[in-house]
Amino acid sequence: MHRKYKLVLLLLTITSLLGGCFGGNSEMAPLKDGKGKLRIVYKDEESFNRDYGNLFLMKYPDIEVEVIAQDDVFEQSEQTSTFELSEEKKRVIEKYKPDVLLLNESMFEAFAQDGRLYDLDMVINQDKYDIDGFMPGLIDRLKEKGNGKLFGLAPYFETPVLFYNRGLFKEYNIEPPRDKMSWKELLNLAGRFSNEGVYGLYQTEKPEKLLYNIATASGLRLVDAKGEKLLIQSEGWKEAVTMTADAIRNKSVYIPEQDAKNERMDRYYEPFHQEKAAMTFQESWFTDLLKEVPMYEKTPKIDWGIVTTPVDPASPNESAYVHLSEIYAITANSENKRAAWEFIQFINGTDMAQVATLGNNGKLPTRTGYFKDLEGRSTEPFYLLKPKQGNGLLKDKNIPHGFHELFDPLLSEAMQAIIDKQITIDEALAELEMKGQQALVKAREAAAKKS
Amino acid sequence: MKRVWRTGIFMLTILSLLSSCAEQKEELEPLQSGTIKVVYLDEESFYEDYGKYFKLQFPQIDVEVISKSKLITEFNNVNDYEEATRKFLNTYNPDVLLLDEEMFKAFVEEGKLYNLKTAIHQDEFDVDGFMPGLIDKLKSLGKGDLYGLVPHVTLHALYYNEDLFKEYQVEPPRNKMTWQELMELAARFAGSGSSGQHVYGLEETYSDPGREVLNIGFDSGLQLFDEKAEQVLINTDGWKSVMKLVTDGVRSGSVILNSNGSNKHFMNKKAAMIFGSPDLMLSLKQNGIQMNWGIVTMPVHSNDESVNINSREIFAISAASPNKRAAWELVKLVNGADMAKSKSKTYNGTLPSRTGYLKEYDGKSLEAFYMLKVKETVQKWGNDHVPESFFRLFVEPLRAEMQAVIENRKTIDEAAALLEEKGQAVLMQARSETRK
Repeated sequence: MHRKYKLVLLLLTITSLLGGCFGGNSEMAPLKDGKGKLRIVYKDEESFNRDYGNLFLMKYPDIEVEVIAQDDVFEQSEQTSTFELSEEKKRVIEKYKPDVLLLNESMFEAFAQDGRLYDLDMVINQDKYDIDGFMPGLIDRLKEKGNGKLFGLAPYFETPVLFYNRGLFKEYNIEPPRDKMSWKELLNLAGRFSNEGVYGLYQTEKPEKLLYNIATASGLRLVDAKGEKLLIQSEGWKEAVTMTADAIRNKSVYIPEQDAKNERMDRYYEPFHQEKAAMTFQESWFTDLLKEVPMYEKTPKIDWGIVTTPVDPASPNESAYVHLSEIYAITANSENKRAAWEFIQFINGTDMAQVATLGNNGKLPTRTGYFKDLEGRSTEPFYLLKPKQGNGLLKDKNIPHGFHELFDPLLSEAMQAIIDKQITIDEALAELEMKGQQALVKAREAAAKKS
Repeated sequence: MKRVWRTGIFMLTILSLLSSCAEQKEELEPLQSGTIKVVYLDEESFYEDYGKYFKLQFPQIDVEVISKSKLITEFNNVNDYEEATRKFLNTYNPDVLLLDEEMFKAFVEEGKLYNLKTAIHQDEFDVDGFMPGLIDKLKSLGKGDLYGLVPHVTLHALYYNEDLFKEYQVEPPRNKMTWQELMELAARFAGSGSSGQHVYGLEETYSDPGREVLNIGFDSGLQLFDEKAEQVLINTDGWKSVMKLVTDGVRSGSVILNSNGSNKHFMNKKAAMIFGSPDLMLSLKQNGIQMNWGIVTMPVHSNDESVNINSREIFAISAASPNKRAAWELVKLVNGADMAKSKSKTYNGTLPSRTGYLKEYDGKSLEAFYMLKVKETVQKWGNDHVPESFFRLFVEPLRAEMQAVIENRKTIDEAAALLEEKGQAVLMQARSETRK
């Protein structure tokens, strides 16, 4: 009898020890009586309540949310000249100890790498939370930022799609654009309008920015992995520059005129609304303009369609144009992880996805199957492509701070010279490589001095 | 014996049949999935204001929003607003309607609305949490029954600039003052303050000396007509004392009357008091005006401490709705305590009709908005028999006579006597216009 008792005790000890073992990364206990509290950093309290708070309150009446108004906090520190957003956010976190953070992609990556965020894998498993319902590629993209771990979820994503004027394509007997075209195909298609006095593609960027847009799709890089060498003199860049310059020169693509202050002179996307341009990249809210502008400006009503953004033929199912500006994460040292998770799972959940697009506010839920209809058109072009991994051309972490300010004016000058045929592309790129390399060195030195 | 028994049963059956049809006791069925049609400003604001909450609670119900803008875009050929609204509602047959008081009253009388009594009882929906008098007012519009609910109200209060009261060493206004008291208080600002600058006691918007007389008179419970509205009665001690109040106020510079909606004197701290809706405190904040402001109730008079509100958005259910349960769930949610709580957290200038949710703004108590009871019945100008066009015709002579008094060209007695004559003539003219 005595021995048996001892054995039980021993077993109990072992079990508890084992439990303790997993304890460091253990299951998340449920909230006691559903009660809890959490603190979040958000723009301001009112927008928080409008965007999420009131809906959350309805489903979780006993979880109290305290909002740290970012606008107020930043307003004080923005007075100082050294204001830097992600540094400031770190300071806010240390001071106010929020449980839930709202981060953009680059900050999410930095925070995840710094070990400031809580790994959600465990609780997702524990709650059997559905992460298969998100658009393909989304979870992978988030995991990539956390070196394979999932530190946050994003309820919405942003992407443009290609809007086109069906009437114009019909009128000139040109077959309409397709999903997953390459830039080359798109610009060729746009070029078919140039004899008709219509711009094929309407866009609002200057030539060098258009070049960046085009280069983004094909995964081109400006600098090498060490950030030491400029890579502009490559076949890939040469092709992109050629395409861009040709398209501008033969007026397949619209380049907005600037006034003396460098401000765009057209308003309300005029050329597209006046049927002087056949295609344009816009986000979903552009449909509001398509509805309203004809009423106010007496422009024709446009019969429009949408297809996906252009792709790299080497990976035709991926998009380089997807952005995640709202990623929600739990701070690693939060004392209210369960309440914080309840909030995050709710705003990224199916209930929220169902109500998110009501009223057509332009939001794109990352969960598929909820945003189905855009003014009677299928929303497939928004969801057809997987978000590409990596940071893209312009957010490349290898580019030193301040480089673009030095390099972009050089690029702009070179592009104009190429378009005006004052110089060949080869000459231009060679010169750009040389001057650009100097700019890169300069920017690196400046960045090194600062840190 | 047996026959009597049979007759008894027969009678009972008939009785029960009769009662069921007379009382029209319509217990609501449990919720079934489907679509309801709701009238609202537009789709986007509906979903922002209520629709998302509804969908979250009732995912099985879809809402089709009938945008009120269609009233303008599709029925703009109809001159009469009421007629246009009727055509609009007949075309779209919404389950949930949004009505102003006049339409609401008319629709109740025509039997077009669903009586909420049974549903409220069945679901134990709390109607006691609304501000005092509101339900009574809605019932009075509904001939004693409740056919609609109002989630928010538009109310005014008296705002005052605490700093100016301190500077001039005047004790601040109180709740439930009379107009006499208010004007006396305003008068204490006449003359100059420590800075030597003139400050008005009270700023009035959309006013002139004539309108001001009417406002104060009606607020003080004066009658301008006899019972049948056959006689204009302005040559009375009551009206003459109001005319004196206004004359003294304008002459001494204690009151400034703006013909438009400008409130610049108050905003620029050149007036100590002004009437305003909650919009005013939003605008103080948005314009970054540093001011210690406070609010007290509108002035009242001794035998009536109630305030008039005009509800432009009464939510009601169509008697013909095939999905009354779902419609009721929406009306319940819109007017419920949870929604009042939520709306208080995203305050945009509308006051929840339920008390106790929006208590303060910017650290200032908002109690004064909720302190007075809602007037149960409102007679326009205190008399139902007055033709609509009377006031349009009377306001100008009244203003002109008051101006003459203020400029010492006439005495109050002369003006009052003349106005009674003019008023009588105008009343006759208005009657004949109406008859045509």
